[in-house]
Amino acid sequence: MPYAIHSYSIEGLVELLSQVAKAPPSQVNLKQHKNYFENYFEKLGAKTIVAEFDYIDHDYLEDYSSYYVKCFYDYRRKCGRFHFFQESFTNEDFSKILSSENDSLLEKLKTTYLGFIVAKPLPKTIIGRTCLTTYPCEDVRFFPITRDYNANLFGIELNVKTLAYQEQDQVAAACATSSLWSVFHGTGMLFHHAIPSPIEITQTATEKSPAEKRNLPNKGLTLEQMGHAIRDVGLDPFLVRATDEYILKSTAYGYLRARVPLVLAIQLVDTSTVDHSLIGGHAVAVTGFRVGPSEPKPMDGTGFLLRSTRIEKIYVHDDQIGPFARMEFDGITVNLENSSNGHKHPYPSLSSSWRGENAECGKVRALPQAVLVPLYHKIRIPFEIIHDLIFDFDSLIETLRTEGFIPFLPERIEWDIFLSQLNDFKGEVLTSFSIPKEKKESLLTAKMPKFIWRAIGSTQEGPVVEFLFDATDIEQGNLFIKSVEYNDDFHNFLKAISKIPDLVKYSSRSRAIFDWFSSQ
Amino acid sequence: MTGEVKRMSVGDLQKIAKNAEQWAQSDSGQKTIENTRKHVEETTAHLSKERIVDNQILRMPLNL
Repeated sequence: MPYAIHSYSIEGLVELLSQVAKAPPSQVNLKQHKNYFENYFEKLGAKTIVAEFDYIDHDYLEDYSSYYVKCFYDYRRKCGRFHFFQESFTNEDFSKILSSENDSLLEKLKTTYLGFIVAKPLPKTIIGRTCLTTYPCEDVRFFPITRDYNANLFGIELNVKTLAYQEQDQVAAACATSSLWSVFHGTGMLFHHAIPSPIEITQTATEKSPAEKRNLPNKGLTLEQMGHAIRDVGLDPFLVRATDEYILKSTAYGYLRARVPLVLAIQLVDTSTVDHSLIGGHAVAVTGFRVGPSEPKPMDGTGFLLRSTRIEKIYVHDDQIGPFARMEFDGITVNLENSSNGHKHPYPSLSSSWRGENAECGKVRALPQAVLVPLYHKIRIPFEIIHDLIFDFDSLIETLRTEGFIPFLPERIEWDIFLSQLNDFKGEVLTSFSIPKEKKESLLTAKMPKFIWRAIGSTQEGPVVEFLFDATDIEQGNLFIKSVEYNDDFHNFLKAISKIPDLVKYSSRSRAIFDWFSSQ
Repeated sequence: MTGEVKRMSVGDLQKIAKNAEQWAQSDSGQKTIENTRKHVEETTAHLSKERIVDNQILRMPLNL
């Protein structure tokens, strides 16, 4: 029988995985993925699994032909693929679909499809290409990187909106390769490049590595090597240190909103041990975030407000845990010895789903180190330029506000700064209720670059102003394109003060904004 | 804060701008503006430093 239908249970899934891997269920049970999938499928409400055997998976086949086929042990070429549905049905029901006798169930299968897991015929690293639907968004969770994946199950066209995930096999790929593979699934659609298989990523990343180290089996990559792999697909690597929570949240948000996925390099620390032992370096693909109702956290010592500081959690493809795994900014710091002076120092950390030495989930903390963003070469202006420019502008406006010169602005402006494709911006303008109707046509027909930075200033009552910047310009160029008017008073106020030389003479970064208003 | 709320008159805005100009030309205004700029420069310089990836992070093996 080429397929089997099972009522969903985590035990049933473990049994299926162990069948393909030819490993005992006890071994599969040891994997952190088991706990993760148990919770995830419970939240998604999975009812039925359709197990497809002898499935040929492109990515595994690439790894197989480059490595496994040359092993003495006879590793199999074909995988298993398990499809998950929110609908309950039996073997007999499914058989009727395949003989065109149950069209209503066929339609239900399409609407209740949750995605699939490819199981690789390897003894330990079983989880292959996995495309599962996200948690429900509910206006607080954002998964901007997702795209459509089609699965053809014996002629049935199924579709799931997600981002592909897979576990490292510890041979062709370590965590760094797996995270890049997921990231390339996002950028491949966005920037139109071919998506390499895990072994191709590892090979290009390590091409220029020192000769004293073996590349395969692969024992991990550095950020420098990951940068080479990014260049190989035609993108530019952009690297930012992210040990500071403000920098991590604001930078990640700035690019994620434009549907650009990124790699987060972390250090894992086991806090279940007395001396907080360092486990090592790890890479995950950041695929989403959760913005809570909490107030924005002002930038240290400035009062500057960014919407991105409201992020409570990020969602990551962690190859050792699962897709869309949660990492929370819960404010917990980890005391570690500072390498320069030997003193214990508190480092900011995120929660993780890793198990510590005591097997307890939640005791392993993630210390963020850096974000690596793969960018289309024409996106030349980085987030920090726009951030610093808006900070400069905001500081003057806030000074004037606190001096009582802006009576119609009841509170400090909160800024939402992010990269955007022009078509996304225009789509939003068309459906916006905040932009006055009479101002829409000029915005929609305006000639602008393909990539723009947007900075939307709001108060609790709604948006006040929006500034658009050319993301494809050079840093010393005049990045400012134009302002979107949400509030006439603020617009007129900016026009008036931009003509006062004593006020704007020090605003070097934001000078272009005032010059633009002055010319209106 | 959309176009629906009561707008300020042109006269009111001109008055505000005039007051802001006078304040900007005064000693206390100049000092406040200069302090704001200084603070901006110090903060952005600090952020620039914080964003730089050092060799230790660049070459850290990511291998778990």
